Amino acid sequence: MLHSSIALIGLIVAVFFLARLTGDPTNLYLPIDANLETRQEFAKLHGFDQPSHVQFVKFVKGIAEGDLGFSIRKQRPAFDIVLEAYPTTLKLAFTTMTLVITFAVTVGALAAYKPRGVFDRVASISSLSTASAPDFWVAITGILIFSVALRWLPTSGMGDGIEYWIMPVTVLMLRPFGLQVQVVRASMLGALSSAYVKTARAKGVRERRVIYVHALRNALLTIVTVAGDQTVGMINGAVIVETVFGWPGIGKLMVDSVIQRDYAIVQAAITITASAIFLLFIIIDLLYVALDPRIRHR
Amino acid sequence: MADKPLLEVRDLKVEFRTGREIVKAVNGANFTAYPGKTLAILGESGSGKSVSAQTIMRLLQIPPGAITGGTAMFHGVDILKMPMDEWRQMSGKKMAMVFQDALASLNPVFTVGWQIAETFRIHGECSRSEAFDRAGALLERVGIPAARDRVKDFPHQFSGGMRQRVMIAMAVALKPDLLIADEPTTALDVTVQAQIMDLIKDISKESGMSVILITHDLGVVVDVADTVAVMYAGRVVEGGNVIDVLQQPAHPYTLALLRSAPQAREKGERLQPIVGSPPDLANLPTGCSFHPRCAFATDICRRQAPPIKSVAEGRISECHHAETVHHEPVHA
Repeated sequence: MLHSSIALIGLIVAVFFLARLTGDPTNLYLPIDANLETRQEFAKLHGFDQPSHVQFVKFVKGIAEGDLGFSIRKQRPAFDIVLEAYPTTLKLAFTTMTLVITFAVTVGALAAYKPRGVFDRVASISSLSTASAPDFWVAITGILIFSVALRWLPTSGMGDGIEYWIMPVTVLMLRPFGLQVQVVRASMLGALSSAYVKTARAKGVRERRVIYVHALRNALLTIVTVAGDQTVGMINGAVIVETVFGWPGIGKLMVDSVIQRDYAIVQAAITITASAIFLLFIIIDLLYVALDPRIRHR
Repeated sequence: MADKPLLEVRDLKVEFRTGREIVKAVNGANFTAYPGKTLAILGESGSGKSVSAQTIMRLLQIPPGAITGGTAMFHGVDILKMPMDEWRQMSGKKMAMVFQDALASLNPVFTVGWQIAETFRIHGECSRSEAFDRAGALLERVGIPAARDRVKDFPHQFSGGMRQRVMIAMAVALKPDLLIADEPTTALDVTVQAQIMDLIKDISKESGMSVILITHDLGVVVDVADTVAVMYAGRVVEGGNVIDVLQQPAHPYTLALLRSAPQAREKGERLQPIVGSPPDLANLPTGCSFHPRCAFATDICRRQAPPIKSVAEGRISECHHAETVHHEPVHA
């Protein structure tokens, strides 16, 4: 908890100064022939004329008051803009992760049940290929095939229909799914060859129950660790998927703001994302405690 | 021993296929368990005693394991050929098993009460709450202090001996006719070992349960068993009443075991280790498997597998020189 708090503070400091290394926003927002006075006025308006440590103190004070600055480009509080983009990312992340865990646990457990069987081999090869497929390539190929050639799915954007979700979610799933299948398979193999599974079988427990109650409950610890990491990666914004499919999520917002040197949004987005990740880590730790009695009693 | 056998294992053969080699773990083992009696299967690591037990419990991993022959008649049915669904009705109910490492054998994420109650529930004995009640009563029976409060504890909250008591409680929950105990005390302190063996003995006496005790410990055999089967290289090389076998062994391996055991020696006498090393199960010697380590070995031992000989009433030995060995004093 203390560790994560320090990390969170460090991150906020780093973001503030790193954003300022990307260049002077005045050059981007004013016409190329703007005179010095206009430039100074612009800088003064947004506080860029002050030394960076003064700007930083102001930024930190702002965070304490819940004010994360003002977007130059959109002329609105950065906080509001980020909060508008966030639900899109969260929805995408949680839909994807729910599907990843459901499918990966089913496939991984079945593969582990008969190692080296036909199903195991197919599952291993396909999970390995999805785990190593570059998502930008899959996304673009997907658009070419399903949107351009077959005209089954929209090329991009976010609408009400499920058809807008299919490609982004599928592309976003590929890598975590592939990895998670391998993780589930390995931890289920370990659990199924354990002595307590033998005990359960000796008791006369049916095979289905052995797999999904006795073994899976133990394998869950590893699965949660990996799923937690993957979720963190996604609430960070699925930059490539959101950009390719034109989804107005946090990832796309951040990339756009960096390009536009809209510091306030970059800072706000990262501060909020970091806080969300911080929360998620606490949830994961609580899950551990719930799942593993050995941690509870230490 | 005029009683009808409860479990009769005949000519059991189990192999493991690993890579190019075929490891013959059990090579035609015969042993019999009688109602209410305790049979000890004695043997060193790799003699096939654990594999035999797991095969009978249908716990053998197939592959790499494979049952290549033999029968195991239990209540008049060959349980090795029984469909798995049918066997599951019996496993845990008519025949149960206790394993060596109780910590690894108990599921770390479920309470001991839950794990014992599961035995009742899967065999359709009673409701969930009743199953928990009975689990508490069982823990009390196996001597766990404050048992009723401890049903909600997890395995890691118990000591080694207490965990093995939990395992025993779980195994005897449905009053099985036969309990297979696979080195139940090997992982425990000597003082705790005796308590656990006493517990098994008590429960067996109380309910008329037969026990097959798998062990490498001569002392344990003397303490609890009625009959003993000595295993070497996947075969039972000698069998019979415990006292008879240990006082007048009729197989050179049993004799060598006794001469190498500390508890059998008078003060000041030297222990005699068994020369050589255990046989390579993927590459068994011709003739008698024990001949390379045997003091009695002659030409015939190298050429021909020994027949099963009866040296006395209820005594068998698989040795060409069984009669000679039988008259050999244990304390040479």
